[in-house]
Amino acid sequence: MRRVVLTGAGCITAIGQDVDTFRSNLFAGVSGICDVENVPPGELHFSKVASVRDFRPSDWLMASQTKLAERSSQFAIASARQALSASGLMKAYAGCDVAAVFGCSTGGRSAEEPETAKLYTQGGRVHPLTVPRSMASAGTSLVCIEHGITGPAYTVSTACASGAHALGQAFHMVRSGMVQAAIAGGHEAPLTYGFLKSWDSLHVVSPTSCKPFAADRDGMTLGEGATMLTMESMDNAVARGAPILAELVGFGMSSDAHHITQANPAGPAAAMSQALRDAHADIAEVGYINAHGTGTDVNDHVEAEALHRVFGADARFLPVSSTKGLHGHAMGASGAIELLATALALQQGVLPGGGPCVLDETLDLQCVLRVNRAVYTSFALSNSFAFGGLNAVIALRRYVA
Amino acid sequence: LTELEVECIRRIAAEKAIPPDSIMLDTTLESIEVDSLDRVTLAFDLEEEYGVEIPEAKLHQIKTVRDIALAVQQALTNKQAVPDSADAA
Repeated sequence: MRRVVLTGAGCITAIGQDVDTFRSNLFAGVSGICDVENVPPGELHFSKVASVRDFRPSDWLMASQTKLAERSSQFAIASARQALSASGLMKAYAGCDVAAVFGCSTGGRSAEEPETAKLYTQGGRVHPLTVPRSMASAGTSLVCIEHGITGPAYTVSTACASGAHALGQAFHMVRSGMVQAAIAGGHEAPLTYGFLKSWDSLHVVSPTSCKPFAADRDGMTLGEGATMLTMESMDNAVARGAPILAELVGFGMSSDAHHITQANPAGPAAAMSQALRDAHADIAEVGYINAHGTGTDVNDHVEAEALHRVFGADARFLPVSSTKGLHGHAMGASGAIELLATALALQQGVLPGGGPCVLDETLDLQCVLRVNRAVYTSFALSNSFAFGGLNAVIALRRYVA
Repeated sequence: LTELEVECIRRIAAEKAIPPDSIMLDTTLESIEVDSLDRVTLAFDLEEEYGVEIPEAKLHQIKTVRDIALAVQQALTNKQAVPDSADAA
């Protein structure tokens, strides 16, 4: 089987609307968490989100895209263009040899919610672009149209693991030779009134801000954004002199088959073990885990337990961090944003800290990184676990030319 | 050109990013790449602007700029001829 590398990246996140800014904020520990806007005061139990402030659609959208692309698709278009430009992918491969696999959980809510609200309260008609604007797969379609990608293309929806499932599937497609190259990632713009209220009702959003693995953690912080990554065989990438970010080496998936919101350690553990098997790697090789780490009481407990099951006595001393305290939980984009963070960590030789806090000792993870650790690590996992127990774990290896 | 015809041309020109003076009344929508999705969107926007509804059958017959202006004009005439219940009250 072919070895597969990541060759280009693009991102629109709360901590940067290009990879360079994302990288510098990630390693400087700059948080993108800010005040909720456009929601009447007192309506929510929380006041913070990780939104993409000052995103200017006009910087990115072509005339033909302006009316069609809802915010979630706008993020996909912008980040995909960055990634394809950085890698030069479409100059190197025919459109039919490239796949596009994106994760998106909630679709184009800002196109759908106001139209539906108006309909339900005042009656009348619905704008004819509501369907094309709000379908979850619109981002994939618009990116394919723009770049002439005619290979396998689809959108994956597995809630908070969507981006990781998309990347993992694209990786396997390139590795098997089904396609020569792929662009994959996740995009999400879920910070609408209706969605914020829906999350509010679940009482899992932090009234302060997301503090993964902390003793005083009190929930997640909702976010938005996108990250896209291009991938191709290592041989081709090297031959054409493409920039190489990291090597994709393993992908594991599982289902908890347990509960629609409560995670169960068996599922995440199985996904991590599967990713290691897929990478033909041993637990001793793992030098960093970018955790799902949502900062909810349940997730962090379950994830810690899963780490103990997979890594045994080593779990205690395994460098782990969650970067959600910086970029928030961008739902279906999270797995992609965090894979980018993981790849940058391997490339830079810096493991990102999650921010200062008092660790929850009951988790028995002594090596949760709160500040950056400067160390070249050769192998890392990026964990994504979704509501409903759908898990995806990706293994990366540091690329040394 | 009537005010309505000018408005139709203005909207099409803006949507397709082409100069308004390149659009004639008998220009076919197909020739300036106004596809079926553009057409229903254009009709919807004009319906909203003028507070009318173009009958479904009519909508599918629209081929030129003149057709769409005429469809809106007829809907407006019909609306004035048959005031709705709120107006009547």
